Amino acid sequence: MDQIGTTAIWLGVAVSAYAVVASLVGARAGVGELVVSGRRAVYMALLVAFVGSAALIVAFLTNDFSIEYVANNSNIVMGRGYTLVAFYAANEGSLLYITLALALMASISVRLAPHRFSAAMPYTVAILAVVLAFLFGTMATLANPFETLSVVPPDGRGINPLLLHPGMYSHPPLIMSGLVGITIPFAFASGALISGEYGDDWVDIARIFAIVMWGILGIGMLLGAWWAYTILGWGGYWSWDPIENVAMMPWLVLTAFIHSIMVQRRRGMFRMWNIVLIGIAFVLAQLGMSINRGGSVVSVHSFAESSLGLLFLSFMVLSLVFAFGLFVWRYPRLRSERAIESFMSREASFLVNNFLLLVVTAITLWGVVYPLVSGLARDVDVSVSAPYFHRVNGPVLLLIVIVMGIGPLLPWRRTSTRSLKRWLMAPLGAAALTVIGLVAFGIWEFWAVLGFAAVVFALVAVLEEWWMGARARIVNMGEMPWVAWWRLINGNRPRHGGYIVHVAVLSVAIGVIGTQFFDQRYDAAIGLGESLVLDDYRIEYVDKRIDDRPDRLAQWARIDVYEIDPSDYAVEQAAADAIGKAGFTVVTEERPGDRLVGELDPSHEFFRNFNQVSVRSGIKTSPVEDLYVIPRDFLEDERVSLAVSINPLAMWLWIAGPIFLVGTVVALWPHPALERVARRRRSGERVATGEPAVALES
Amino acid sequence: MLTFDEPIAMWTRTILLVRGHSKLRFWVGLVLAVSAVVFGVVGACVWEEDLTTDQRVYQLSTQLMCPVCDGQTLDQSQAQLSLDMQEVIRRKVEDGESNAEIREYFVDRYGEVVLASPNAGGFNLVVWVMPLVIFVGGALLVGNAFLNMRRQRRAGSESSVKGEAVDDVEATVDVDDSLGEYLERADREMTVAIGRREMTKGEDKG
Ligand code: HEM
Ligand code: HEM
Repeated sequence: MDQIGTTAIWLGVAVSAYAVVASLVGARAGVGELVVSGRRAVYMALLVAFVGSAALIVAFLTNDFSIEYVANNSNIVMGRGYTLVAFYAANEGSLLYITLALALMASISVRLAPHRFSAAMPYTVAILAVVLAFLFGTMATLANPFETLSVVPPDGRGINPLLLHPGMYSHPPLIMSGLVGITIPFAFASGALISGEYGDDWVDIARIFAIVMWGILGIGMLLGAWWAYTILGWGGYWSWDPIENVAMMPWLVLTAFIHSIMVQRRRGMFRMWNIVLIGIAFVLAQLGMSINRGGSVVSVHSFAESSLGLLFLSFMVLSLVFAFGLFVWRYPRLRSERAIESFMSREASFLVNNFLLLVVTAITLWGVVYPLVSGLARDVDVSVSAPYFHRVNGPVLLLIVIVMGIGPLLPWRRTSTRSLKRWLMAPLGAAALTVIGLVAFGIWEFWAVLGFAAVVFALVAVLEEWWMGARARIVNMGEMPWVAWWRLINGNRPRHGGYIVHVAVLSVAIGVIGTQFFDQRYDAAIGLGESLVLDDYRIEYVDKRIDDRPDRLAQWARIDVYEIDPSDYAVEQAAADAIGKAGFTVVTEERPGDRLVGELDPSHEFFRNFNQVSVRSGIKTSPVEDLYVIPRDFLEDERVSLAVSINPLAMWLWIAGPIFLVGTVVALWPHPALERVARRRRSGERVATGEPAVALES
Repeated sequence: MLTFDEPIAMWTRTILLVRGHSKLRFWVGLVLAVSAVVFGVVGACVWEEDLTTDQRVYQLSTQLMCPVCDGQTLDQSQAQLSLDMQEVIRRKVEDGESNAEIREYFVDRYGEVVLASPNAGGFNLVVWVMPLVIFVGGALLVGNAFLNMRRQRRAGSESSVKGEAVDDVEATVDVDDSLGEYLERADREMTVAIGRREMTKGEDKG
């Protein structure tokens, strides 16, 4: 296996290098055959990446411990399901996976690129192939996953215990593909720019791939967050850890990009800016890969630690120089045709959107690098973690939610203050009602109230759009409400897909506000037959189960969850309050008000080879709140030390996932008519319009 | 505590003096004022007091890093040291020490790296001020780009016929507008048209 694999990697170096040379020479010298063969070399790169990956997977499945990487990340007792995916569990294999993903996506995109783009294609192919060559080359020289051991161990070390989780099948492959995939829109943008012939056409293709990668990355992050929530055992899902930040930054920039290319598509503006944005996204994606691979900043979950960080960093700097040079070189061709006409127009709202998203990105980047700055400037180690990011990014994120509500209400070009005011009535009214309602319910936290109001504002703005549009159809054509809404969405999928995504963002916002401002936590050790009471839950420790295996000691706590009537426990509660405890322990006795609402089975596993603990939380979830229980430790005296928290509205974080996916797919669903119109308008051709002289927005 | 509104006010005034455009001035002013308030409040906001002991222990444990775990705060970590540190925090809270004192105690023992976010003082002021600089700098850039475009357009529109009458007058579709833009607004126009039809119907009856 190792020979097949190593050969495949070296072949990969060769074919991708060939693709670069053939494409460039072919384009410059005008030799069509060379260009075509350069393109085919990308398909070849896919083939060899596939063979390499297959070889590694086979090595894992057959427990071929003569390969060092297999021996380090697998063992005999491991579930077969996990051996299948263990190949991307650490640095070398994940490089191979990234290469495979990029080769696959590059091949698809090259295959699908429309004919009218053909003059730019050689350059696009060359850029893709440079990145492929870099990845293959790194594996061939510094990080070969097929490195063999001189002494074959009888058994492997096993996979990192944190990775034994269903999340392993989804989060790493998605997030790695999404990050490396940003190369594709970047390659198309740069290709167009180098060839110099495609004023605005590249944005159609770039939009598709940018949204695909953005969607993959978004879902990948959400899955990572969910993974963290279920196993890292701190009840959190996002700790502003460097690894999380480096995934979020390019995603934010891509978000800015997919908004701002709408302006170029429709109005021929923001041309320079769009190039800059995709360049930044690409460079930040490389920063992500660099930080994941090495050393410079501490992280809770970087599983690919190695010495390659610096190499990736150098590649990032090269990309930066390349993108910047390209931009400067082509600057004269990038002037906009039109200017923004009014501050109250959709163009302008996109400008604000871009501004806010980039501010969050820049602040986050600053927070990530500040420990290095401090180290260099005064030789003092500092940490920059969640409390910092909450304070500095929180307000900007809030502004984003608000602007997200206003933007869609503004038409292109300009609007009258009067019509804007009319459209703003319902959202503002609803937001005001929200504030009143929350305060009436005794919720005073300033930022939380503001946050909820902003969410309601933006939500009602979208609903208003849908309601007005659908109502027009209902009244006019007598359609059923659902049909009307569906047709409305279908009539302009990119737009309404976007609005659905906005709703998903609001859903995340609800979850974030709920969990950040209203979470409760209580830690205590209780024995069998004892209960722990927090808020209106009683958590009874009923049973314990042990599974002692060669590689680990696993222990489960069987826990019954009761919903209680707090007045039944008034005495204990008063006693707890008096000493400042959030909860208290009672010896179990049935009280009439207690109602069994769930059974949880959280576990605590100690992995001997790794000297590492992995906990699996027990979560009783509902749209209102999650009850979240972690066994921190099983004590000598048969008690279990539990950390219990109540995380309000946490479920909305995960509900956002499917909504996000639907919205992304709707936005991406091909819409030939709209695209033709956009293209024709750009190329200056006049479209017969009939008589569109309808008075607008009166 | 930091007050952030001073520089913003100065910058606002500068922009507003340099370029005069009433409506825009209002919006820019509004945005900057809102951000000044937002940042001012955030800067001045101190979360503490009237919390129970447990809540304060929890709060502090989110503000201190576990010294032996990569990048985890105390409340996230399962390490024994982190549990011990939380016990220390509890004792100190019960002894009536303030959050700042407790943080200081751990800084003395483990160095600044134990704080999950640096104190806003000394060199570390930089880490707190930079976000504001980014925000305001960005706002100025955007505002400037926007004004430039607008000026250009004004200059251009004097010679062309179709660009006139922009301001608060109700916008109409230029005859020049192409189908795409027309379609794109169709949802909303239909609504308006129907609204109007309904109105006229009502008038007919009445
Ligand atoms: C908020 C949550 C998370 C975010 C934003 C996140 C982000 C990332 C990023 C940026 C990468 C690197 C991709 C690349 O190098 O191309 C990555 C890889 C990975 N993540 Fe996560 N992650 C999260 C949570 C988790 C959790 C909780 C686990 C497991 C316990 C996990 C396991 C992995 C694995 C196994 C990889 C592949 C490692 C490799 O490159 O070899 N992630 N994630
Ligand atoms: C900051 C404020 C934001 C504003 C003003 C804004 C505004 C808009 C508008 C007006 C559209 C519809 C454009 C059309 O007519 O087709 C749109 C589309 C979209 N928005 Fe937003 N948005 C904001 C934030 C976000 C965020 C945070 C996300 C995602 C995380 C997002 C994701 C999308 C997507 C995916 C589309 C569809 C793009 C396409 O189909 O090409 N937006 N946005």
